[in-house]
Amino acid sequence: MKSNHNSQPDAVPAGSSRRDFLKASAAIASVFVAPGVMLYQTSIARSPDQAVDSTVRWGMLIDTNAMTEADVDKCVSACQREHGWKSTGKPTDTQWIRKLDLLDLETGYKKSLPMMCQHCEDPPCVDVCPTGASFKRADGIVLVDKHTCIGCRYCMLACPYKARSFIHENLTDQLAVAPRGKGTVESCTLCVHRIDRDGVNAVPACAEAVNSANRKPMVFGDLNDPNSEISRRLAKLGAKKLRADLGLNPGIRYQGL
Amino acid sequence: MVDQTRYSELKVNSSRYWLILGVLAILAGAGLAAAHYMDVEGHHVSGMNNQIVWGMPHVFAIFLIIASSGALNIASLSSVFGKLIYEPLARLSAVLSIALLVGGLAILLLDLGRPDRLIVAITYYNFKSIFAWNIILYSGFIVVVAAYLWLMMERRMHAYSKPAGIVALIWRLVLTTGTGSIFGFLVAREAYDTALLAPMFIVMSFAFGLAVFILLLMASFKLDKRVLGDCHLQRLRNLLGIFTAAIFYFVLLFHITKLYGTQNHGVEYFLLVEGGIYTALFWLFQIGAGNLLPLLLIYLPALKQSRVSLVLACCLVIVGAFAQLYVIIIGGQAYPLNIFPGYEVSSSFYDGVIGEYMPSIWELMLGLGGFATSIIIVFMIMRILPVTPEILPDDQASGITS
Amino acid sequence: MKSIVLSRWTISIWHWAIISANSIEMKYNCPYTFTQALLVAIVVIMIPPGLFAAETESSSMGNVVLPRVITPENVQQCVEPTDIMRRDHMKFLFLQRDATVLDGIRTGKYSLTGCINCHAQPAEDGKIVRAGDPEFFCTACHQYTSVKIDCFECHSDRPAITAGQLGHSLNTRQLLTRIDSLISDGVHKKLLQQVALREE
Repeated sequence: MKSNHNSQPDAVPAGSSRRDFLKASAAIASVFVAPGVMLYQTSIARSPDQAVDSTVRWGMLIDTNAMTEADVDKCVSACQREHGWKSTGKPTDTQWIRKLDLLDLETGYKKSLPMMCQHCEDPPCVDVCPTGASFKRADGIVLVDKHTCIGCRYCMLACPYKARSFIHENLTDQLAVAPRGKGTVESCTLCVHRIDRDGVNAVPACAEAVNSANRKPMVFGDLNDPNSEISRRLAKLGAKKLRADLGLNPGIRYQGL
Repeated sequence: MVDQTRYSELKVNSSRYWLILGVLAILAGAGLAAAHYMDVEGHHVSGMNNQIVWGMPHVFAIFLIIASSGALNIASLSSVFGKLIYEPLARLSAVLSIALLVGGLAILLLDLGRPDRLIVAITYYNFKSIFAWNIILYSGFIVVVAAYLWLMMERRMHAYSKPAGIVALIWRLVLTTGTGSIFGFLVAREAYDTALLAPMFIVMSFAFGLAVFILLLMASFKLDKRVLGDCHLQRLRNLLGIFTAAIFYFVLLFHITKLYGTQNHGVEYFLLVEGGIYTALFWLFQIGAGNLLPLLLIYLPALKQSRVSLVLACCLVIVGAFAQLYVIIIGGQAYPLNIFPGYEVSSSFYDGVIGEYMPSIWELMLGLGGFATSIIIVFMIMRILPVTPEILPDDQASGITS
Repeated sequence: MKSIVLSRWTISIWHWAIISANSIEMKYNCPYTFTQALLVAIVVIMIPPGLFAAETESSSMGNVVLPRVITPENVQQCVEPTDIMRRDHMKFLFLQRDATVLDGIRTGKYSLTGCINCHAQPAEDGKIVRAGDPEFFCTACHQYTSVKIDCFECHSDRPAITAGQLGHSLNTRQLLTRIDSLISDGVHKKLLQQVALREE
């Protein structure tokens, strides 16, 4: 659902204040941080009743140095709240995003980071899906069309990141923004419902949970736009793509690995 | 050369035939019930999980599918390569081929998370997916072999059976290549990710299909009290020996290829040394019982004339086949993905640990049900259509050697 | 009892095939040949169980559960006139579904969430009707016609907003826009608070 709130301001009593606040704060930020950014972005933002196109490619930068273990846990629980999935630790349980603990046996170096669908540019899950249910949206988000997913699980076999889960049980009381059901495969959607609603101002639930006014370990944005915050941070500090050897060019990038 | 063999329907009307069919029908019914239960309850009642996403049903299904391709060997040898000694067995070979494929496909379909969406699987195609190619290859194969069977059986059309046989041969080579490539093209998994799997699956199909064929031949001839000469069996026996040795060669090559690259030492060490059930299955059942023992039973001079040893060898090849497919399919998934080379990884999603899998009774029932369905189809066609030679004596064989 | 289940099942397949064929036609914009071919095939397969099914269905005609139709105040009609909705609601839903899932267009008026927001409101006595209940808006007709739908295996069968919020003096267009915006904000609780504040 997307409302064109500019033409019908009366119809949006609750959202408008929040959105206005976002807009205002973004505008103020743009004055200080990067004049011109907002202008550029609003000029390419799609209208909500237009199909997504490939002028944008959504991605996320995760600065693992700036994230504590507690932050990663926050990501996970925020995603669970947003999409209504639970994990009790059973091997059949779904996990859209998980906390991964790394330990370098040689040096004893430890690190925790959030792991989810990497939204590849050339996703193997899309290649192998027999019905095309696993697909990449024009704006780079890799999704499962659960209406055509037949539950063959081949995509789970093909994914190098173990990003996908199969729904092994009957579900009830799913959330309106995240329809999900038994017998199909699911994974991180990069909060596509937020992106369709808020465009360039969208913030996925996991990032929203850890970012605050004075620090921003998870930056969501348009990788195609050289002036976006994510692109500028990538240009300045670089980042790692997981399993870069496979050449899949994931949209999720990690700093501090 | 005109085929002089007299074919006839299975005449057996004993309670034995119906008993066999009845037992098989119960197995098939149980398989359907199990599939229904897994569909209603969800796959959590199976042993499969988010780590081992393909389990026992897929072992059965892929066994049946590649055995189906191999079962057509006999027909190809006769029509395409002109080995006329096999001509009397060509029809049966085609029938078995179709039946095995139907059983295997049934398992694959019934194991889907949404088996009710068969129409989606048929109407939506992603042409880059090997799975989608295989849907076309499998269904097309049934049509091709059915046409081939008809051309062989209709005397006026018999001349066309050779081109049809060539088409069927090429088709099944592509089909088995496609089946092997389901795994071979998976770059993410270290245990797969080699095109070697395609030719290996072809050779496996030759041996598995032939083993099932020999057992079917001996069982049905015995059941119907028909004469089965040693000459045919000796040739089939030799073929089985060659194919089994070829499997061994490919397995050897596969593991040496993997072992040569340092990055695969982990997965090889897992499969060959410390993989528990997978290591045991590999060495004892796949290599020992499935390759070496059958070779002994087939080639030891003292056993060369023994039919019991041949039956035993066929059974062992099939046991080895299941072990091999179990190790490839489930062992390959059990080894964790290496997302962060050089780090020890852990999470609540079973990263960095060996995936756990214990096949449930439902999966076994589904698998056996599919197998039973295949045999039911074979027995029913054999009873309805004249596909079985009335007699296969030795003198007939000695008359027309290739 | 078993025969009724069986016959329902066969009829469900029948309708489901027609719906699938329709969606394929819409997707590829092809004339009716595919449906026709499919129908012929299905008729041939289904005649015996179909006859059998028709018998059992007619015997249960006496106790049909009627759908609860909830019409919010001042709402004259659904997004289309009733007769069109009756016939084509699945077409609309399928078209909008593909636009939303594949292209990210969430502004269309034929959204399932929209249906639920109006048609699945609790009754006057506050009783919440779920998709499994016979008097649930979709279920009532779909059960009567034995057309199985699986929408609510995944989708929420409960309105994202309450009847009160659906609006007092809104016309249909405003109402729909309002529903859309309310859902799109996804801040249901905040909204409830605001509404409560305003009513004070």
